[in-house]
Amino acid sequence: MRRWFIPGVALTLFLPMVSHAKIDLSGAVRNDAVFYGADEQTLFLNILENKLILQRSTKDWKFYSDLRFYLYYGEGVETPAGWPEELEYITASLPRAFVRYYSNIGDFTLGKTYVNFGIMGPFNIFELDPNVNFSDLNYTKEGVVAITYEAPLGDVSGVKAYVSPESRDTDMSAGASVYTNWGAFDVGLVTGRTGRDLNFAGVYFKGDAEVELQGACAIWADDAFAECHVKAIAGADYGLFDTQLLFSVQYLYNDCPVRPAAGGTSTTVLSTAVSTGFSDRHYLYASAAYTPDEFFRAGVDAFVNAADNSCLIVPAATWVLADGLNLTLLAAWPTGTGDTQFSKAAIGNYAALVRVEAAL
Amino acid sequence: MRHVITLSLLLYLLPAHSRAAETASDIIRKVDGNQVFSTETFKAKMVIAKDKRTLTKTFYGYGQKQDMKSFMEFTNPEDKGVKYLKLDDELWIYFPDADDVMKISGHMLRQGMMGSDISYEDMLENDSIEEKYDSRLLEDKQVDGRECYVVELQAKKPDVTYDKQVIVVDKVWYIPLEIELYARGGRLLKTMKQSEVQKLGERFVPMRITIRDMRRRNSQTVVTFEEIAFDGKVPAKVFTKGYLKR
Repeated sequence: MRRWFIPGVALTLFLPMVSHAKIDLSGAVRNDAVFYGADEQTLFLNILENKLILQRSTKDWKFYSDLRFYLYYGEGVETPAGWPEELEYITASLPRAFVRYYSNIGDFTLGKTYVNFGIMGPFNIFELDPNVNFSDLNYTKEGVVAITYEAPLGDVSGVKAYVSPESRDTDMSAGASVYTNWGAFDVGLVTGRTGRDLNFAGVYFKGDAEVELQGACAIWADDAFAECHVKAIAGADYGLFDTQLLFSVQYLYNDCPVRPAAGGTSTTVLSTAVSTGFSDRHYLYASAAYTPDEFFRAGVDAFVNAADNSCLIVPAATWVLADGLNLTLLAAWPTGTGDTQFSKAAIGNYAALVRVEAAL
Repeated sequence: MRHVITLSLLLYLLPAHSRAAETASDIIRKVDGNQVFSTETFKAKMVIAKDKRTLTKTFYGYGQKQDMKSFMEFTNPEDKGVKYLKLDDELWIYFPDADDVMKISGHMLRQGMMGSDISYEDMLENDSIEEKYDSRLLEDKQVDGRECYVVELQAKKPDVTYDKQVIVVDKVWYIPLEIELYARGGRLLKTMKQSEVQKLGERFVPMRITIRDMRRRNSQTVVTFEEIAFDGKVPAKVFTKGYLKR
């Protein structure tokens, strides 16, 4: 159990009680049945996730917490290091738990929060620990314990900053960003520093030039500027047939030193929380999505590591069965060989997932 | 005195179009005039239907006529906390899970809002009809027993969402009860019906709007306003990007 978890749960449960607040409760239950095709057998892993969101909003402050419980079951279970080998175990996480206070000089947030610099998407060069859940690209990203400050500089402009203390799992980090809307584009400047002797500064934009375009570029350097590296993304979205068919493409250039990629075990590629370092030099993300109406959508995502010529192809289809009740069928096929990032040796021959999700 | 009474009766009994030969421009100006307010607050329900299946979304929001600003927050369980901010012809969406704001632009604006038959482009339609369209009066018709003008609108410039519209305007309320929206090639893209008209102060307001996107088979979206008020107070700073995170 990570160090922040107990204080986080305490904050989640204690604060509403002492404030005698009228708490808004929402959430979801999600069950993922995952099948992994290894060389001679198929492994089964079931992940039952219970998401509870507690929230209270007033005109002066807001409390928000997102508490998750996971029940892992099946022969494909990979227990965390140090845990006994079992077919079933329960774990929990707290991706968000914060209090936000709206003062006259700006909004202060204290607690565990996602520091959202840059552009949402599969590759965000300003993320300190880039990660993606291949079975759900919109899956909640893990926050960091921090104090943040955000103040408007007009209706669509503002400045934000954060400081995150060092913990057992993360280094101390701090950053600041100023953003605005320029013509049809959102643009921003970002700078920051981590305790790893890493500093970064860059710019991002996202907007409309008939095609939706997005891009970002940052320089990462050590304190002495002895090592200086560039990270950049460029992407575009385009829709056909009145956007029922939507294409997206994004390229990541990563000049930073190669670090060992996280993940890469046979039963984690479609697990609830996958941490994959996009640590090679060239990556490409491409997707095609068909959404004829609110009741059905189908599409395919592809992650290409162009440095080692491996690729992960993820086709998926979702049916909305009723208000708040969804059924998703999804598969993942790695194409790489040998010890490449998206290889059969690292991930398995294939993975398939059946997901049922109900909103509370 | 007798002449005055006779004249009044005559005016009352004569068909409306005979009373005053209104031009298409006069009618459009009055339709635009119905939209005059400083602020609005509303609470609404949106039912998206396809065949026999339905999805229900609930939301509330604020609007400000000056500078074409609006804010909406969804309250149904699946979309709880999703917020929209529209400033003139720019649109941002706040996602509570990510605690982040995303700008919607380009082709993405043609997507249906929350999967409905209403596109983001429809939401961004700001300007008065008179500014964007040339109008032409067609033959009158009745809708649900009410006398209506029929006006054809042709876009003055190509940068509008719909090249042609045919609107059926109630002769008393000056509310379009039926609207047909066409693409440049003449294809019918959407139909809209406004009903359950209520008088709020000096203003007539349709409380139920039914939209059908003709490109989606057997699909329709019904928006029902449960509460609506004009020219009241809206929260300070609500029309700013920073407010989305609150």
